[in-house]
Amino acid sequence: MLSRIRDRASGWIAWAIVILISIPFALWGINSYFEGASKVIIATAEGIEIDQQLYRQALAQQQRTLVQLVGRDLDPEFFASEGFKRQVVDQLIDETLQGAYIRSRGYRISDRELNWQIQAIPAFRTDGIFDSARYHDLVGRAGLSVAGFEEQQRRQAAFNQVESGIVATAFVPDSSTDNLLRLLRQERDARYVVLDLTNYWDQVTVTDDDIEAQYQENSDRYYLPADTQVDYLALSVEALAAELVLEEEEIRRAYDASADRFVQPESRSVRHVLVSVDEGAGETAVETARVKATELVARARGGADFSALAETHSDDAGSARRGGDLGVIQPGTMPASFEEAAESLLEGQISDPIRTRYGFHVIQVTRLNEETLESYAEVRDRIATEIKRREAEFRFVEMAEDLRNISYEQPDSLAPAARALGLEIRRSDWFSLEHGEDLFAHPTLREAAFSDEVLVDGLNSKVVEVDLDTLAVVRKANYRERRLQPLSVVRARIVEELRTQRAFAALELEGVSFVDQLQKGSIWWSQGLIDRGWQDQPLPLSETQEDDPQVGSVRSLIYAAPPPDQSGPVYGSGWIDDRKLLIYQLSAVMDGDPSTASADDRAQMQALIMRRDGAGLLASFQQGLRAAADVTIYPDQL
Amino acid sequence: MAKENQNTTMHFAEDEQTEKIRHWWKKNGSAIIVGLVLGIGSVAGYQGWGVYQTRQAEAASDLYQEMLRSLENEALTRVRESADSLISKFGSTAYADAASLMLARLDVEAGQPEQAGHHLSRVIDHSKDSAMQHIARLRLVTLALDQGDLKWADQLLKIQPMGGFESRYDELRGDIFTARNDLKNARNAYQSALENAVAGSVAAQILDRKLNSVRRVDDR
Repeated sequence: MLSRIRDRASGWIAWAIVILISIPFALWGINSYFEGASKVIIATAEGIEIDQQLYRQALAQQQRTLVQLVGRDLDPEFFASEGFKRQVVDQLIDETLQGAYIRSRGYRISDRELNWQIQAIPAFRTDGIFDSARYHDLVGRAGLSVAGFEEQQRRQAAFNQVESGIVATAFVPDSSTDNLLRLLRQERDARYVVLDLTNYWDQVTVTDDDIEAQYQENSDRYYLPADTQVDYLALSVEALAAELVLEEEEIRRAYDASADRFVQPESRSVRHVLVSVDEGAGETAVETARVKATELVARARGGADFSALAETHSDDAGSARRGGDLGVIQPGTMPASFEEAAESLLEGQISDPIRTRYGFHVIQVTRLNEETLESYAEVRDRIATEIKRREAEFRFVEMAEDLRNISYEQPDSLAPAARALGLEIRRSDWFSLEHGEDLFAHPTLREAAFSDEVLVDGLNSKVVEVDLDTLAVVRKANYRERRLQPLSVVRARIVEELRTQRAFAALELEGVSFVDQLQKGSIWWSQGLIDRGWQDQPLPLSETQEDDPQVGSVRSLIYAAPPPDQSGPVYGSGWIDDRKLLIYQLSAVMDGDPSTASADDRAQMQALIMRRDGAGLLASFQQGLRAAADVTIYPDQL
Repeated sequence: MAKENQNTTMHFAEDEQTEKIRHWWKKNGSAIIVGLVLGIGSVAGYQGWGVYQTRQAEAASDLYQEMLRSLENEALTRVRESADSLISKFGSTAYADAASLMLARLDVEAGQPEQAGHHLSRVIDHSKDSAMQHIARLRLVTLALDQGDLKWADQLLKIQPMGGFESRYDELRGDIFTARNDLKNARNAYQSALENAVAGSVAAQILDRKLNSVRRVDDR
């Protein structure tokens, strides 16, 4: 049968078959046949799958961004936390849903617009002009293909359209501004006292029996958690780099090979006076401007103060205020004739009038820094660090493989791996599952140390990726169960706990009963304060006077009180930070007055409303996308 | 000799098979060709429709970008021109919704709330996107409140809010109750608005103040 098909493969039937098979390829592309190998799915959103590879990339990228922002010493606990992972997943889901929304609603960025937007990104420009080589290089370095990057940009640009459709279209009716002014510029006439808990400490007593009872009844609070000591091997790029010794020759060669990296280009600081004249202006206007500029040149060369000339005569209002100063000129930011002139000037020299599309410029170079080459001595250490780092990374990858294999194949000891890789077995301090120091500040490593294979079976742990540049494997050395601390150790803590508890109750009782009497009218505010020896103070009217953060808390409690009616002032109390009790008398509430509000105040209110009805509704919209979508997350895969 | 013989048999069999296929083709051929043409035609047509749609979307998108750039340059007449032609030429696209919202904003700022209302109503009545409908509706309510037309505002709010927008709906209901001096219901509305608001957002801060302003001594 097969041979017969082969025999006829040159006949018309064969062609028919080939054409039939090729139809789907022509219409849908060949790649749909090669997708969908074995992907691990971490979540689906509206039927769209998000695979683990994408998630890992996003996780690593987010981590890098945060490290760059905050610095290396970011708490490693954070990167392993559920919260961080969930945030990354949520972001991926939101992006997926946005993509689906954009498609379904027909938002679409044209190639022309996409090019335009990409070319406007400053990072892809050299000398102010889009640089294709630089673009490809940077995109590649970020680990993306150009097509992938452009798709990402296209989606982002389309979503920006959705965003501006909501944010840029918000408006503020005048009455809304008035209402908000009444509300947010409201003033409250109030007096208050703040009583500190610690003042009540001495009034409460704590007996030995109380302490004993607390220790017995709440013993759970006084346990120390189980902890462990481990032996461990750590492999880190940093340590490998520190071991490397470089030949001076090698550093020298690297310097010579990439000397252009160490060139500081020439820079010029410039100031100018502009006599403006439109590009299409008539001859007389141009001539008048030229004459004025020429005069200015003469006065400047004759010793007149350049910055004074700029302040009084320059039509470039922005720079005129700074005495004409434009700072260091970045190539490509000024019209060509301006730049040429600036480049030909010596320090302090004053140019002839230079014509640009803005008019005539009189230019002076105030500081000229020649192009300099950083010497070998200056950059030697920097280069050495770079080379070491590169070589160490290379070694790290090789050694990581060996570390994994050996510690797994010989799980009963760390010694073989240590010998093979030349690493030292170290002994850790005590640490618990919840808390550790140094290397063991990393929760993934602590989890490994408390895993069954280490704790129960006494084997080597898996090789743990502590961070991008560090691996570690641990093995149990010592272990202590969770244990109750003796009373003598925790006694002081118990005393403090009991005192605080009781002082809190005493103070609250006193506050509540005082407010109660005030409300009933059985005592007066001022007399009541005198009787108790308390000192009150007025609530500052305007929020700008606040330098004490406590006043902020006081204010928000007093502003949450109902306004007084004809039956007299309102009294109330409330806790600040669980340490201080506020007692207040609220006599009057005065709404803000729109008719006396300053222009600044109005503008501020309008900005608030714009934000609520613009960015605020955008957030609602995104929440809505999420709420309406069918989303499943598989937490085990995270 | 034996070999030759075999060849002849093959030959014969082949002739017979070709005859069979010819016969089969005579009977079914036209149906298959019609089927293929229909099939390929409809797939090609579908794809062509897609290409056409993409082109329309891109043309609308470019016009929309132009509108945004004019807005940035505060060239309001040109913003209006772009928005108008987005609505007239690309009325069924999402960009037309955004254009209507933009015209509403410009009209409010030009002191013509009534016209602004028409633009917002267009989105409420004709948009295919329920999120945009809700946004237009919420903005129309603020306009109605600004005009003091509580009945209309009330009427507009009689609808099941879409997920994510509940807080703003409740807040505006609270505003209507406040305007009618029905403080108890205003309190409840603001309370539930606050529960659905994002903690710490501008909306939550404003809501907090609104809620405080409608508290009364006897409802503690």
